Amino acid sequence: MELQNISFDWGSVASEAVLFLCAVIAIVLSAFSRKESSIVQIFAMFGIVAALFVEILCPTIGSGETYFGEMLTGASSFGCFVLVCALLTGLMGFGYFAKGGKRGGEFMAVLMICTAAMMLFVRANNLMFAFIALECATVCLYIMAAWNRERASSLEAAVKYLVVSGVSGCLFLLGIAFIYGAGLATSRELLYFENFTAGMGNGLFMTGFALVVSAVLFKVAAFPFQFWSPDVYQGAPTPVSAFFAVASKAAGIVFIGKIFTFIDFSGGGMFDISENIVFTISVISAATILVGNLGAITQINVKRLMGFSGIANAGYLLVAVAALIKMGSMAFFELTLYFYLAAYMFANYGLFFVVNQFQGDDDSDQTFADYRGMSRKSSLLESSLVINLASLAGIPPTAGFFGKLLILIMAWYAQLYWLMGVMVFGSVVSIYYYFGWMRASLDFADGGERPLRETGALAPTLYALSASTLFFGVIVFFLVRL
Amino acid sequence: MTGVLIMEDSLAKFLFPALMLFATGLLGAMFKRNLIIIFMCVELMLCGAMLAMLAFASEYGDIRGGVFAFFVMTIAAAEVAVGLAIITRLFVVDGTISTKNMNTLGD
Repeated sequence: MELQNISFDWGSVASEAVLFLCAVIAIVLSAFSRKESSIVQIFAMFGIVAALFVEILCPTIGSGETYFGEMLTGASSFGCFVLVCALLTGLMGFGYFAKGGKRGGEFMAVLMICTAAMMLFVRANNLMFAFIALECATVCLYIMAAWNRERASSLEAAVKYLVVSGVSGCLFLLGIAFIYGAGLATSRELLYFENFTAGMGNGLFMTGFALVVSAVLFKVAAFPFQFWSPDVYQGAPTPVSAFFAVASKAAGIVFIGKIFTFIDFSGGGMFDISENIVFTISVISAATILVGNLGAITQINVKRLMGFSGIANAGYLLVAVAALIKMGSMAFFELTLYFYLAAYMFANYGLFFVVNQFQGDDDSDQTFADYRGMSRKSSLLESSLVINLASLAGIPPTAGFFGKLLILIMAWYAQLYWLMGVMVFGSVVSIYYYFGWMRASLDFADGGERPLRETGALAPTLYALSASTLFFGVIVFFLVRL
Repeated sequence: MTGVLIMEDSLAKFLFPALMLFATGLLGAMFKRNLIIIFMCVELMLCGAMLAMLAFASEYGDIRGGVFAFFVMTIAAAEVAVGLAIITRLFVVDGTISTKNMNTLGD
């Protein structure tokens, strides 16, 4: 790549630029604004909405072109997805900072930088660029996990994430070094995704590729690397736990899906390699599903439970990735992936909004006992809890059911029958612990002494999330006419 | 015998210490108890990976590996700034930075 051939297409990163700019303005504003005023937070929300508009109107979606000297591909649906996550996290932040959290303006600034970095990570077309964007997002996640810096639980969660994520970042970098070396030795630009097919079969490249994929599996909390997830979800402030659970996991899965779509397994001699990769990913996803679901059975702390639930869901998504590699059907994979992620987002945010409404700035010790008698205290929170738990458990007609159905259809066409069995078994087990939480909240006996408060913007958000959970699946299925 | 081979091949001469650094860091990060030492081990791993990249870059006379090393150093600096702040804060709140005493979270 000659330097003079590089075009600086600033229009293609307009949405990320809006976010970065608003983040800088938000930091300056919060330095000058009155303490604990929510003006900066409101400004930041407008910034995220503006970025969302730019992203929707952005002409680069699905164009197949590359920008900045082939460093970036066009925007994907993931941009809109993560922006909606940021918006919901910001809304939850209002509740969190109203009940005792500090420095709301700066929080929104860090959240916006993290969101922009994740968008760039998923748009990367080159591993070096992906690494920089990933680490930028990760450093923001450290800061956000440690936000409640008066509490040992939040700091401990941040330290655990710091060490685990630091190690995974190093694995990623070592993988890049190997792929770079393999590329130089064979005179090919192997760091670019579209050349990955050429590297398959080269020992050095395969080692590096395995390191990169396992580093991303760290981030999505897949089986051998899942141990950090429940601790971090439990200790981090609730809006941050929700962001970890949805946005960070989705970024990793979308990235893994993306690099596998660039590899063409149809060529000569590729069959054995693809069989091996499918087998490895299948075993990892089966183990992830089992560890997540079986680990959740004994949990009574709701945020830990969500941590194990997140592990299980990463397993379901990896089933879709394994099926993608086996059959190579891009369009159906994208539909499945984004449908499942959207359903997962509605359900998770619906639940974390409820968790966030319990008073006290530390939610790390919430157990089922706190939810007793909830149906009498607030019918709004109770109905949101029931609907979204049903969606995570995969009860029809919620979106979660259709999401799992799509993944099962993919696995069926890819002939991964044993993986379908594991997935169905995991879903059945998951009904037990999701319904345990639901049962505690429907218990009419007194017991939950923790005060519960409904704040301003909560009701419309929860109505929107619960309605999406209930009707999204049905509507999409009618639109697509599967 | 391996030692002789390493001294003869200039790529392996750099790659071997790089991987040793990486392995040392990984072992330290897994088995040490003090958070500062764990954190230093993570940085050691980063150095090892970076050195491996620089070994390839100098062997084949390609400049991008060297340029990328600067970016990685920037990232590492940001990570260290945030990480040390968190560890310091944990010491203030908890009074210890040993992983043995990290038991706030759990069942």
